[in-house]
Amino acid sequence: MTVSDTEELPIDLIVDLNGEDESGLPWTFIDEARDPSLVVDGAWLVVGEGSARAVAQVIEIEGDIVRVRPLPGPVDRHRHLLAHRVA
Amino acid sequence: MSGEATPRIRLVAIPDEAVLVVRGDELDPEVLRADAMRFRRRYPDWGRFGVSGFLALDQDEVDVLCATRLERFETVIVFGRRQLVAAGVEVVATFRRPHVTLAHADLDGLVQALRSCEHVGLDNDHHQGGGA
Repeated sequence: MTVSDTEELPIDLIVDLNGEDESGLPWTFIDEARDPSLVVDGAWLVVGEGSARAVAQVIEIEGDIVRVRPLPGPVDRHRHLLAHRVA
Repeated sequence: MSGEATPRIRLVAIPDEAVLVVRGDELDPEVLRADAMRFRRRYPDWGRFGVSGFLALDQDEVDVLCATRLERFETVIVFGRRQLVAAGVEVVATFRRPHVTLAHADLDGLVQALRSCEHVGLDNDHHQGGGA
């Protein structure tokens, strides 16, 4: 899938962007992904919950736990990082 | 399940002067419920439902949080720590300062307490919009 400038991007992975664990990073369960095959080490995804969104990189997958590092700024600023996202 | 089944609680107590608790939120009951259930699933041995928040000493620190950890939120909610405790919510220093977990043994009790607790909703001037 290619990402156009006008396309509405769905949340790939539901993450509470307030949250953190012992790593200091926001986390969630892999089954919170709309397509778990998207969630691989280093992948760039749209994460968030409710009206909060961010582009984030998957930093670590430990069992069923996924840790992400969100980028500052709006999703639109980082759309180019999502170009290789599939599904 | 991976990792510890209880959250890491900081040994240093919450300072008395940390009177505010901030959370990027619209107090949507479905979001609160989902967050609290996810926390419980992650840390089942702690026996509590929980959602994340951040301590602040004053409005200047609230503004710093809005510009950093909470910049992705259009709206933030500011609670008084004393008011949260009075509403039955535990404010527990978890993981790294200034993170806290707002905890309650009962899921509905937590959601109801957070929604009914006195709070101030702020538009986040640091939020840049431009969502998905």
